[in-house]
Amino acid sequence: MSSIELVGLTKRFGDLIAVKDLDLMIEDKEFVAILGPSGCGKTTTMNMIAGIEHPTAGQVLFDGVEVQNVSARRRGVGFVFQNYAIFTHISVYKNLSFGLEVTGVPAGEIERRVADMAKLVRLTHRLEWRSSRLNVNELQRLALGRSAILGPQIFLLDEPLSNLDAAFRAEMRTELKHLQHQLQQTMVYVTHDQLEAMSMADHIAIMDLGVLQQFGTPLEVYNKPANLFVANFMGSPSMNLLPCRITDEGGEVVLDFGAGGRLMVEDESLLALCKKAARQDLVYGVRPENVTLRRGEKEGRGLSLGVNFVERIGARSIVHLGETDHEIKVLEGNQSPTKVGETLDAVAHAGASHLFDAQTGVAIR
Amino acid sequence: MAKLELAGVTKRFGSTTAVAEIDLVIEDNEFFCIYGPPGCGKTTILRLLLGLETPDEGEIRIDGRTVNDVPAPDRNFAMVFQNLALFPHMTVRQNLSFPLKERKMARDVIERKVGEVAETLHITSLLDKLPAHLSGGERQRVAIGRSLVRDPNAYLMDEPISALDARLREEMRVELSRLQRELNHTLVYVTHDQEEALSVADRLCVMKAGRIAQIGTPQEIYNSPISRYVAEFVGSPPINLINGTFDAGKAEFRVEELGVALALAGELDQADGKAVIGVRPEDVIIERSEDGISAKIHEVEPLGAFTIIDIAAGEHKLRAQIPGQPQFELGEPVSVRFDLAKCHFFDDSTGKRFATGASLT
Repeated sequence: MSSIELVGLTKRFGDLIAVKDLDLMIEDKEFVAILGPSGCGKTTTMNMIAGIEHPTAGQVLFDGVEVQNVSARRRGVGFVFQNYAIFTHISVYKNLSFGLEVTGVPAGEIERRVADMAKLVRLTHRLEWRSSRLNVNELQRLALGRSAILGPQIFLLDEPLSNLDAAFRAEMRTELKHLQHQLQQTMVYVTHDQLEAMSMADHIAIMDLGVLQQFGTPLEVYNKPANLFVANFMGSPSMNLLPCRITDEGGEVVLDFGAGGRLMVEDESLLALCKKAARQDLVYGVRPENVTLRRGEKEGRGLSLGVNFVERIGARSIVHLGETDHEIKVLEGNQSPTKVGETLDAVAHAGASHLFDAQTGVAIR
Repeated sequence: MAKLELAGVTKRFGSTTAVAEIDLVIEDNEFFCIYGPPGCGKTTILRLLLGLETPDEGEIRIDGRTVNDVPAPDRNFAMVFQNLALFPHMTVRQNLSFPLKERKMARDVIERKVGEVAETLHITSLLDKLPAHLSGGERQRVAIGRSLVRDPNAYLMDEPISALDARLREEMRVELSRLQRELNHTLVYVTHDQEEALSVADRLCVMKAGRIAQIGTPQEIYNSPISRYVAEFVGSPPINLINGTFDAGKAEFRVEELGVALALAGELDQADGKAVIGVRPEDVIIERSEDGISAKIHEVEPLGAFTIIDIAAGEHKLRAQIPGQPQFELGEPVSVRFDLAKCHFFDDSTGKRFATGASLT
C-alpha cells in the first residue's frame, strides 16, 4: 500500500517559483484534495508526485522510499485528467480492457475485472456501446474506470469534474467518494472548487502562490482557518471579512469598523481573541451562516445595517447588507422574511467570530 | 428599455423543432432568466429575439411592435456571448470604445461613457491593458462593459459567466444583479446553472425540450413547481421523489414499504392510481427516535454551513440537507420525518403536481 510524503519540495520554472518548500504527508488509503486558485502550484505538485515534473529541490517518497528518480510510468500511479482522453472509436469494454491487455493479463481475468469495474462505475449496460455514444457523465466514469482497473496504489485526479455541469458535478462528487471507499486507494485530487474538496476529502491542502497555507480536515480548515487566504477561500457564500481597529473605551473593548459602524465586544471568546491581538489593525471575520438578523433590537448588540439585496436560491437566501466596501452577507432560509430597504441588526453567534492580523493575515488564536 | 414578447413562436431546423409555441412576456426593466438543460432551446429563443433567426410561426414584439422583419442591427440589443469575443490587439479602452466609434459618436461622449462603464464595472485600472493580460473574470467584465456602453433596448446574455471559477461566479452574479438595478434596463439571461438563475432573476422561465415548463419568480418556481420535471430540475441537491399510490376516496397517499400514510388537504382533482411524493432535502428531518421512518445513515458530506446526509430507508435512498455541522456515524440507525406542509404530490404518468401539503393519517 502507499503513503506519499513530500519533503521540502520546490519547483522553479526560470524565475518563477511554482512550488516552494512544500512538506506534506498523505497517509495510505487517504483522500487528499490539493485546493487553490489557478496558478497556486497545485497541478505542479501533482505532476511531481506523478513523475511528470522533476523537482528543483526536495523529495517525493512513496512508502518512505524516494521516487524522484523513478520514471513516471514505473511509479504505479493512475491518472485522470480534466479532459478524459477516452478512445472514442472503440467500445466501452475495449477502453476498460485495453490497459490490462497491454500488460499481459490472462483473458479470463480481464473479462472478470472488466465486469467488476463496469459494475462499480455503473456502465455494465453500456459495455458494447461505442464510447462516442456516451454522455459526459458516463465518459467521466469510464475515464475513472479505465485508470482504476489497473489497480494503481496511488490515484491522481486533476480537476476531473470541471467539464461537467453543476448537477452532474454534485452527483459525481458522491460517486467518487464511494468509489474511493471501495477501491481503497490513496487518492490525490487537485481542484479549485472548495465544495468538491470539502465534500470528498479526508484532508485538504490549501495552496496559494506555491506555498501551503493550511493542511487539515475539511471542518478544521472551514472552522479554524489559519489565515485570511484560507478564511476567504473556504465556504460559499464566503466569510465576511471586515477591516477594523480595536480600541479601549473606558474598560470596554470596541471594534471600530469605520464607516461600517462600531461593535462593543460582549462575546467572551471574541473578547479573549481581542486580548491576544498584538496590533490595533485587525480583520474581523464571521461566516454568513453564523449571523442572525434581528428586528427592533436595542442598540449596541450588533451592527445596524441596511438590506441592499436578497438572493433567493432555493433552500437558502443570501442577504447582502451595509455600505459598499463594508458589505456583509447573511445566510437565511427559504422563508426568509427579509426585504430590501429594511434596517436590521446583524448579530454574530457566540463563539463564531474570527480575528486576523491585518498586516500578516495570520489568524489570532 | 423595452418590453419583449414572444407570441406563439415556433422555430424548426429541418425536421427538428428547436422551440414550440413559446408565449413569453418579458417586462420592461425586468431581469429575466431562461433556464434549461443543454439543447432545450434557450439559446434559440435568444437568437430569435436578437433577430439572428426568423420564427416559422408566431410573432416577436418589442414594446408591442412586431419585429419579425426587422433585421438584427436595427433591433438595438446588446449581446454578451459565452465566449467573450474581445479584440486581442486592442486595449480595454479601445475595446470599450469600439461600438461607440462604429456609431460615429463624438470623442468626448465616448470618453465619458467609457469612463462611466469602467467605473461601474471596477475596471478603470485596466483600461490601458490588453485582453491577454487580464484574468478570466476581468475579461468577462470588459465583455459586459462593451455591451453596456451603447444604450440598447435590452441586454441579452448567453451564459456570460459560466466559464469563470466558482468564487468569481458568485461575485459576478451579485455584480450583475446590482448592475441591472443601477442601469434600469431589461436583461434577458440564458443559463444552465440553476444557482445563477435563481439568484439573479426577477422571474425565470424553465425550459424542457423546446417548450416552456414554467414561468415564475425564483420562489414560485422553487416552492410551487408545476410538475415533477420542474421540481426535479430546480433545487440542488435535487428533490427526493418516492413512488406510492393515491386513494381518491380517502384523499390518502401511501408508500406501503415505508409505512407512510398521509392525508392530503384541499379539493383534489386526482383519480386513484400511482403517484409520487416530492420532499426537498431541507424538508427531510433526521431524528434519533422511534417515531418516523426507520433508516440508516449512508453518507455524510459536511460542507461547512450545512451538511448533506444520504440516508437509506429500505430500498429507498433519501437525501437530507441540514444546517450546521451535525455529527452522525456511518451506518447509524435514525428516524426520518418530512416537513409535511412542504411536500408535493405528482401524478405518476403526467408528472403534474396535484397537491402540496399533507398531514399524518
